[in-house]
Amino acid sequence: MRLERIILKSFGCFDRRDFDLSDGVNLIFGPNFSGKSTLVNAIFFALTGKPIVPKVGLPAMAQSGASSGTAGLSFRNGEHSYQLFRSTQGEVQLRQKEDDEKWRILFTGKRSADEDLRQKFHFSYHQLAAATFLREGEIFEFLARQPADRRDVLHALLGIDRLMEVRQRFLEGRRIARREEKRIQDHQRSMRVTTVKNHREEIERTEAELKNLEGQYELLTGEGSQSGDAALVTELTQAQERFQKEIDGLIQERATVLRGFTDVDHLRTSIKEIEAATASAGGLEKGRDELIQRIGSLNSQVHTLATECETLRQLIDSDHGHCPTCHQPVQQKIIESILAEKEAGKASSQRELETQQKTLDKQTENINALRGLKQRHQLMQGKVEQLERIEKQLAKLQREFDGVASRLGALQPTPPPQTSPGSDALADPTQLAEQRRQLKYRIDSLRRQLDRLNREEAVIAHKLEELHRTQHQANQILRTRLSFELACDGVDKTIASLQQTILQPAEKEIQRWLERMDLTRFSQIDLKSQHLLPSLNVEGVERNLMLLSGSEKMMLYLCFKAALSEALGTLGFFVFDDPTLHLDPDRRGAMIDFIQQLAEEHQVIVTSNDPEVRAGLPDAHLIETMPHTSHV
Amino acid sequence: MSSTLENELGEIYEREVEKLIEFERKYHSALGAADVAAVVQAFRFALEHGVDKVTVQMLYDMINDRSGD
Repeated sequence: MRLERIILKSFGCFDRRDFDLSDGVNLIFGPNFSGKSTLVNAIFFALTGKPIVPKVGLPAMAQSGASSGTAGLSFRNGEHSYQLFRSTQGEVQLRQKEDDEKWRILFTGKRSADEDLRQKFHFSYHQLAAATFLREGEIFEFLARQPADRRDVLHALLGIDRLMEVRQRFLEGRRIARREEKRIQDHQRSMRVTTVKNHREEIERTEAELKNLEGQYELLTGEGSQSGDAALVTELTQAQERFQKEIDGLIQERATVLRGFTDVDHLRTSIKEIEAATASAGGLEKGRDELIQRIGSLNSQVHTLATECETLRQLIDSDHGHCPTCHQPVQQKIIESILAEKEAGKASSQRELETQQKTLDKQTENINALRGLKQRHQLMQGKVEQLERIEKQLAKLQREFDGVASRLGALQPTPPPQTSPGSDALADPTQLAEQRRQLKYRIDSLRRQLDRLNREEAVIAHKLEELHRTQHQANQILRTRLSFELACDGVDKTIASLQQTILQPAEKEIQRWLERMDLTRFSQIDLKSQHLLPSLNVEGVERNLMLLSGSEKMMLYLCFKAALSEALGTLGFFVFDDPTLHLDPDRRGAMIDFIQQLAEEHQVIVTSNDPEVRAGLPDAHLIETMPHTSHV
Repeated sequence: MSSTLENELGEIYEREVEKLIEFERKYHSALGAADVAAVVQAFRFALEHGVDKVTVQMLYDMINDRSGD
């Protein structure tokens, strides 16, 4: 990067001024209060957005009375030219010069541009502050810093602070892994306690015993087969007898049901006859109702005629010869003829009534007989169903009986069992059966026990499987934890390696500068042990920068900056604010020599109010500043 | 940090991790290439995206999942 121009507007003591810069040495020369440090600050501010002197507010950098000041910088980086402007109100603008000589704005506005600038031009605030710029009085502040502060600067400079943040994340990850690991270990311990005992041995022992007993049972069954035939014959005979009894019972029941009938068919014929009779007598009920009505009517008629006859007789027996109703005189003969007529009607009705009464009695008798038939029909129907059931049962029993008889028939021809002299007990079917029963009971018991053991074993196997799975998880979490530890250690080693990568070349570079400056009495530079504070061997004695003389401090400090800049990746320029301050003439000459040597490879911007420095740098591009005004 | 160094940071880290797993018994007896790859990947991921955007859980998952391969 080559700085080409400083462009100021209402910045510091400057109203509106541009200062051209050239390659090689640029000497900003002027008396005190002429704005030399302001120019250094303007460059720093334009690049970083921060004042070079810490704890100075941005508004304080604007010109007195102005609401805002702007510091701009034209520079060349690679093939392109850029302009970077910053206002004290925090606005930033970066322009790039196009091929047509026009400026194109790359970004503008109030924003944090540090990351963008870092990405584009590969510089950072810390790099500029530590390795590129020397501000007035900086060395004393550097020496006064606590080791922890210097370590922070070193970390920021090397980007170690970001690595430390990553390391912190890894540490937190390891903490999670440890927590998880402990949880799994606790779980494992709890599982081990319950699964220490398994039933494998007991199962094997039970299986062996069971096998033995089953063998015995089979043997016993084989030996007792012939004796068993006799027992079977007995059993079958008993069954046959039982079936016979049941059959006899059913036959007796059938006979009871069939009482009065020769067989079922007879019964069914009778049922059909009854059904026919009842069907023909279907109108009996209705006829009887009609008869009852007719009898009632005749009764009423006879009663009426009897009353009328009685009235007529009373009329005949009376002597006044008048109708008791209309009181008209009546003739005796007429009355007697009416009476005779009424009597005849009454007698006729009475006869008919008697006839109807007899018919009703007959009908009632028939109806009762019909009801009896219906009841008998139901009873006979029940008998038929009962007989059908009995027949079925009889058929079934007969089949079973026949089966038993057949098996018995098959067994009967078998010759008597040949028993050995020593197997009398086995030959006895009852004893044999008892022995088999006991064996069977023991076998069943063992089978149940085996089932239980197998079930428990299955549970244990499941637990063991879970234990195995948990062990797998434990292994995995162990790997995870170790991975996090590896990640943390890796970051530590990287930090160490990074420091080595940067600081070792820086130490060599300081050594090279010291040799170039003919300061060979300083040797074995160490930047690491005291976090950037150069520690060196001075004529065989270990000393750090703090213990050197003022001029030696400044010389060594600038060598340190140049070396650090080289190690970090030089930006191509240095800006030193009054580096010869407090130096005696000899040391001043050495410093001028250092600046000239540095300018052979880099652009160097130096401020001074010392005429000897101006004289010592005759080829420098001179920028003269005057109190309260300035001109090139 | 210089851009060159920053670009090389992942490689430096990978080298250091490989050295650790080679020479540290507790690592080389338990971890393998997949674990190293996961650790380096997590480191690069955290550095590339910035720790503000990368949670512990993300890193944990990256490393734990790969460890379980």
